[in-house]
Amino acid sequence: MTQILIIGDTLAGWTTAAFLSHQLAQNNSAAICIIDSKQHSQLSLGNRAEVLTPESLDFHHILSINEQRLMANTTASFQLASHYLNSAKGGYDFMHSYSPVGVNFGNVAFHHHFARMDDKNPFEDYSLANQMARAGKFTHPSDNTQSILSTLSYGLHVDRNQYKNVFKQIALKNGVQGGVVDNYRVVMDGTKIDYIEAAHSEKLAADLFIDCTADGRIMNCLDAHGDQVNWLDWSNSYSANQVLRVTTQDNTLIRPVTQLQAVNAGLLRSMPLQNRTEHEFYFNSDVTNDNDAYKAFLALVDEKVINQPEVTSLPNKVRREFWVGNCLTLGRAAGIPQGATIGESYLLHSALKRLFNLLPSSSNTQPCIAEYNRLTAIEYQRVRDYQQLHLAMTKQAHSQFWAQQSSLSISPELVQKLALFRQAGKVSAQELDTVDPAMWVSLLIGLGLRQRNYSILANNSNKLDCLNKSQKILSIIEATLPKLPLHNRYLSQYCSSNAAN
Amino acid sequence: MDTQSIRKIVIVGGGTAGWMTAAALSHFLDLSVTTITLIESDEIGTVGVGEATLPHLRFFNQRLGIDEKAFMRATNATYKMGIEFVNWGKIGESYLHPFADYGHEIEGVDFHHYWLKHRQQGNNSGLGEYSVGVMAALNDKFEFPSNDPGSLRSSFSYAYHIDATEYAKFLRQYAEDKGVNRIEGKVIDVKLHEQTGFIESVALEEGQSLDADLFVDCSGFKALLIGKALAVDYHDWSHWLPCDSAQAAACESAGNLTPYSRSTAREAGWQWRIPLQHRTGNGYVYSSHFIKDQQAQDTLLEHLEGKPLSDPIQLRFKTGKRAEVWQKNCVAIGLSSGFLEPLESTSIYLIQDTIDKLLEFFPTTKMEQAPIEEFNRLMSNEYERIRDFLILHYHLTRRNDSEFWEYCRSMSVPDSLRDKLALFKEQGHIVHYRDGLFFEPSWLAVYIGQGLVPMHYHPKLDGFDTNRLRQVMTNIPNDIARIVDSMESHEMTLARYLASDSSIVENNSAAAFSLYGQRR
Repeated sequence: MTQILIIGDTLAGWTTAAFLSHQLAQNNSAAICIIDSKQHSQLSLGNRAEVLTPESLDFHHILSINEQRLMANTTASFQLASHYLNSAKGGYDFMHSYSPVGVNFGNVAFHHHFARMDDKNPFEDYSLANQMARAGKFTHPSDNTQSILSTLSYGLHVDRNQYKNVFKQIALKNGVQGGVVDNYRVVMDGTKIDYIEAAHSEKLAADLFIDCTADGRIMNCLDAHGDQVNWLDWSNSYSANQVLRVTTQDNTLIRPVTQLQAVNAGLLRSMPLQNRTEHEFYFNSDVTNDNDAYKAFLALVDEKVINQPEVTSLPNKVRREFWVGNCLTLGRAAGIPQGATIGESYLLHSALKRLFNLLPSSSNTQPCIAEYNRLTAIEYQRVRDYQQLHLAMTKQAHSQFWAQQSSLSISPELVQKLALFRQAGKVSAQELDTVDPAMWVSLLIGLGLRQRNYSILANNSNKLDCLNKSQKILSIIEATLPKLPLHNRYLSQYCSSNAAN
Repeated sequence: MDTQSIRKIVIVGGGTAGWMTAAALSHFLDLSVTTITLIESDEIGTVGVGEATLPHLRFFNQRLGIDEKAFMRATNATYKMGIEFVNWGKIGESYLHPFADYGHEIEGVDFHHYWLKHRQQGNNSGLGEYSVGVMAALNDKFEFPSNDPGSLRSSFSYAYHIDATEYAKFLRQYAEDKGVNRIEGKVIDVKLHEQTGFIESVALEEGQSLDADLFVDCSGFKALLIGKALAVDYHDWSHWLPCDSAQAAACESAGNLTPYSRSTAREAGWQWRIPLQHRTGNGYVYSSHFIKDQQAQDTLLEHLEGKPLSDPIQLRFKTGKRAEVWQKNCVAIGLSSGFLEPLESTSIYLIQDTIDKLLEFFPTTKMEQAPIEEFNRLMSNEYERIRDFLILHYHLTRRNDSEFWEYCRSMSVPDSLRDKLALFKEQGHIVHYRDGLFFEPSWLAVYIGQGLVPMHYHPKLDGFDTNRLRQVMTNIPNDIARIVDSMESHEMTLARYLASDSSIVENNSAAAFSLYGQRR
């Protein structure tokens, strides 16, 4: 039986404990423990809310998590789209949902027909989800494949701490042992962890130590040279090095939307929960001090601030190797690309599924470790590229923050992606891509990129047919939208105590 | 937008590659805007010698609106559900690589881990018993796959054995009907633009000169445009795939009409057997470093199961790939772009795939770089992944009965393959990738079929209930046996489908760009 020790009373720690205990401990295939020290577990670090993409809902499904109960317990709201805003000249204002825009026909993606027809409607209007997001509406996808409602796809906003507790409960129910100790010490045996010695000299040995601490302190012990060797510095990808976190209360409509608003001093990301909205304002401390950042925030949001604003610096670093010997990093210990629309939970859930697939069953763990590290590194780069596209395409005259961001280099893969879209209107899928090509396309179009060409295969469709099809899509959306409930109402009904029990 | 600013396309070379390209381009392009000219010479023979295909070809034909019955009659086609590999792992062993899946995932863990655990408990049911494709094929049965993803009857797919020369003729008719010009002639010179190096025109022996915006090189191994004129490098892979020659001969049919091809490993290579309606195609693919041509020819003739219908023809090739399949205004399709030997019937697939990608990234007269780079990146991915899969067949052997097999067994393989082998050997993990042709079921078929049994199954199965395991492992083969029992023989299905009054049997099975049928 495999012994697994998780270190870190964190969202990553408990998610890992819940997932692995569900997958392994129930069959007695592994024994799983989790510990943390008092002082570390009280470190308040990071976001107060989490955005969960549709992939995370699949992850919940593996754990048989009831969505209704989860949402009630995490003051969650639905998320249909991200709302990208840049009010500067030449800026943008568009919804970017998880659901398809338009309908592919003639074996050709919709945006090629759209380009060929020189359609003057806003591209985003061809998505019911986008229009629902604008109108503040929500309903679950339909099972009826004939209905436009079956095309919907969604994510969630959850309270991070409550979300952690959901996994904690699952883990404890599954028999995961452990808890908070006064202190612990990592004892090495050469390049491997021998055991972890907790207070009262209890020795905790394991086949695999999973570092889920907020700062990666366990993995850092493996690094004789301190902090440097195993981390890749990603600060040269981001203009922002600080984040201001503010909570506000608002009694108006809760939109099923994450808002990303570019302003002179930085980028504001707002995530609505049932009783409040969590904001993160990303800025650069060389350009803007904390006070000015807060002022900039207040100028944008006129809701009541109900929490002490908090400024932390952003680590902007990622592991070179995520798994070394008998120590694996997950969550923040592995590195978090900052302020991502697709972020920590996406990477964590994906990493856990990968870990499960590659879980070593023999003492020769090297092939698994190499494959895990190879794939995880690719995935981190993809997530970074996805963020970078948004950041790189955001222009603000007279903004030092955005001027600096545009001067930073982007990866060759992203350069090629942009060129390919401009020249041929194409996005081709890459290994472990964060989102599918259609979502890349709608993001590229939203950010203002124009394709100079469309697929030649679109020419095989009759123009009148195309026009009819496009109009039909719009009219179905127009007919459907008024019948759908407001997100607020849908949410309060869905999460009412009756329903959630 | 200047989509379809390409007004003239010249295809150099006919054959399967040339006519598949001409047919597809004539179907998808507006020929009132763009003219397509194909140059071929009746004097230059084509390489087609009876060919096994992959299920993707059905998709190609369907998109072009080609009727399956007309196509099968024209090409003397039979159905193909996979390939049987004989004597590969060791003399006396055989397995079938099907266009089909094995078993089904349970609690998030791939089926073969359950099979492994079952085996470790002393049960020796073969992996093939868990695949409809394998069991139907080995019993010479065939029926059209179902479209119901919930049914085991949708867990397999099929392709054809065809006479590729006839297929080229069939497509020639199709393309010419759509307006493709065919010019009889031989290209003797290629004129490049002095500054850009683009191909301006090709000169024919007869004195004629043809200019175009886009040239497609279907000239086979000669690679007149991409190789000779544009001097694009050829990456030689013959140290990994050492066969460089073939002897091919057709013979009279004998025995049951098998719905699969057969590849039998021989002293210095392997012999193919491809059953068509009216005859059987055969060939010995070998490495001339390890056996003399005459000896190879004798071996082939010795192993024919029916009377030979012609003298053997000899072919020479070099496995490898063009560094860039598309350069400037020239795209190489077919053997000019690279050659991976016919072991897994990938030649026609690669032609189809290159055509698809050309259409997907179809250029304008500007010949912008990003789509060309993307096209080349995807082609390299495709070629290299197929290459690794082919190398696996040669390398994963316990044969030590000849120098050839000693070489293959001990040769160093690409890192990408070495890592895959280590992961499977250690714990049965099969590496997944996004773009490619052969996915998990194929890798599994060859790994297990050639004797690489993982040392450990997935740790989740440590606690899996033994009774439940036994039940699952007994039920699936029983279900499959029932289904296979109820199927008609390959011969019968084929005869009824192609009979002149054939409206009794219709094929409603949907084609897909996939090897394994509806469930994957």
